[in-house]
Amino acid sequence: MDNLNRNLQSLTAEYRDNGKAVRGLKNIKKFIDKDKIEELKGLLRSHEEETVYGQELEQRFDIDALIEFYNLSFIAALAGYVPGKLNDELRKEIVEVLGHSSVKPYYEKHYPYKMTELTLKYVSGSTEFTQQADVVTISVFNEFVSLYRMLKTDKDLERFLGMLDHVTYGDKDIDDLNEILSSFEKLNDAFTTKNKSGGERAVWGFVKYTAFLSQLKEMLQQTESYPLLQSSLWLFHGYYFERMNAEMQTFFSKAFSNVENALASPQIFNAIAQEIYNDAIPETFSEEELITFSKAAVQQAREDVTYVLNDKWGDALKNYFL
Amino acid sequence: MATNHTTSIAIKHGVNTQGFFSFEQPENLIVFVHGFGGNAISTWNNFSSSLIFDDHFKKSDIIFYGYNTFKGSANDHATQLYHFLNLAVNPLLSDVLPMQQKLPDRNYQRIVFVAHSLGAVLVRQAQLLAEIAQKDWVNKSSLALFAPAHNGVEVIALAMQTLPGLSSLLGIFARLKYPILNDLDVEKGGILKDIRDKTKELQDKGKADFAKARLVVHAMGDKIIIGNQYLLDNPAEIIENSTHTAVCKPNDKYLTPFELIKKII
Repeated sequence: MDNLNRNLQSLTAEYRDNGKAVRGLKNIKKFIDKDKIEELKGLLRSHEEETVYGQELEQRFDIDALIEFYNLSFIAALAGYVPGKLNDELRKEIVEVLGHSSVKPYYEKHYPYKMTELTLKYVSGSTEFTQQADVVTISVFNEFVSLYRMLKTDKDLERFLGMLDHVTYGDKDIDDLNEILSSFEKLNDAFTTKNKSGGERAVWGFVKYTAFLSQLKEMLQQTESYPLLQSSLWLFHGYYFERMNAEMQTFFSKAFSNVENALASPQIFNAIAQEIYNDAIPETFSEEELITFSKAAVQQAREDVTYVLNDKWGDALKNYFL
Repeated sequence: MATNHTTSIAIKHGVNTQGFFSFEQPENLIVFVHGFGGNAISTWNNFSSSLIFDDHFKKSDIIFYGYNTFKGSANDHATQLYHFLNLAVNPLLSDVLPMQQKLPDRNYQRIVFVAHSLGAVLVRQAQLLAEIAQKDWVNKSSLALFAPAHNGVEVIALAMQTLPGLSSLLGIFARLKYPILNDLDVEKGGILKDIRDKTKELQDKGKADFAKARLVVHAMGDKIIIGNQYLLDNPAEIIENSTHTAVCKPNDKYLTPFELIKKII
């Protein structure tokens, strides 16, 4: 077996033949093989049509993981990590699943996710990418996968992204998060508490998500000479970046302003210094430095978010398949 | 360019720990351990791809170990790392390497810990725990340390400069409630003193070759760590025009970290 196919086999073993995706594949195959078209369509309905919860929700998460594996395989091909044209068996499987009439409305209409449409186009045609793997493409691919895993497993991020997507936890929602961000005392509690409440968990999720966006920005910059790969990294997260772009821009703008206001008072840093050093504040300690540092950190995060939320990043790959 | 390792395999220990396993029968296990506020893989920038592209590392399994620096003490994380290492030396048996990858059994001849900053404290303590428990693997192990924090650090500077993005704001709050930072305050003694005393005791008896770092790398003018010579470690390589956080990150213009590791393996 050549190197690229060996890589594909390894990728498949890790991301499809494991955990949620393997359950998703078994389940969806069962529907397709038994010709249960309406049942599958019902499972993948819009939640606005009828609420989705319990076992159905779990089954949808499994199918989401499978779809993400297909999209990840596409990115791997663009990075030159796997063959530029996936093997016949996998292509056939992707066409059967993503091209199914009960599955298409799920990612085209109910929860538009362009990357999945493009993955289907890629495997349906005779497209063969010729990108050779190099240190940049493989570094970026590895880091991308690492960040993707973090997004999928981190409870703070899950809470924040859920709130961003209008989920309420108990009686806490995105407005409660913004309230915490606007108060230094509450922010301080959120950062230093041992047992995070719903809102405090979301604050950590918010901070981690902005760090994720800063890291993604670096990856977009690193892949400047690889426009298709660059575009795919962005479109993979299109559920948020595209579908919720305007809402995200509004939320982050307000959140950063709240954090700036919360940290605006010089007394805050003096209080921190007192708490850290009691009365023995060292000569090297500078409140001014902390004020400047915090302003710069918020400003940098604001710039990074604006950079990443620019929808031009999706263009290269979309235009390729026009 | 061809790779000779699996894709990034998720390992269910620590936080976002992942491994790249050789398709061949490996001789070496290389374990990377990040510092305060770091991340299993991004702390090391291009290291993962540089290693898997280079034939020199064809017979090396590579693990990037991650942990949550905002929770728990240095000793907590060192102990978890120690327990993980006991499993990692037999990866198929312990399911660190999933059977689905269909790879041959491993029998490592050498284990190399590559650690940054706080990571150096963790690997030293994990080695000492293994020495106490008389684990065979410890005598196969060696150390490569970038900007090690084993002599202590300037805590606020560390917290502010090592956290990515907006999380750097946490640095301002850091000293208040994150016990791991107090562990790195040399004036408080604690774990740093314990590790040093125990290591010295072993070295005075002519033991613990594993604790003599084969490679130590400092950024010139690093004001975050106390960069004094540590016991019988090899003298540090001093890198100009670098920083505490950048010194362990190879990129297309700065290959030194990678080349230095290559020299000792």
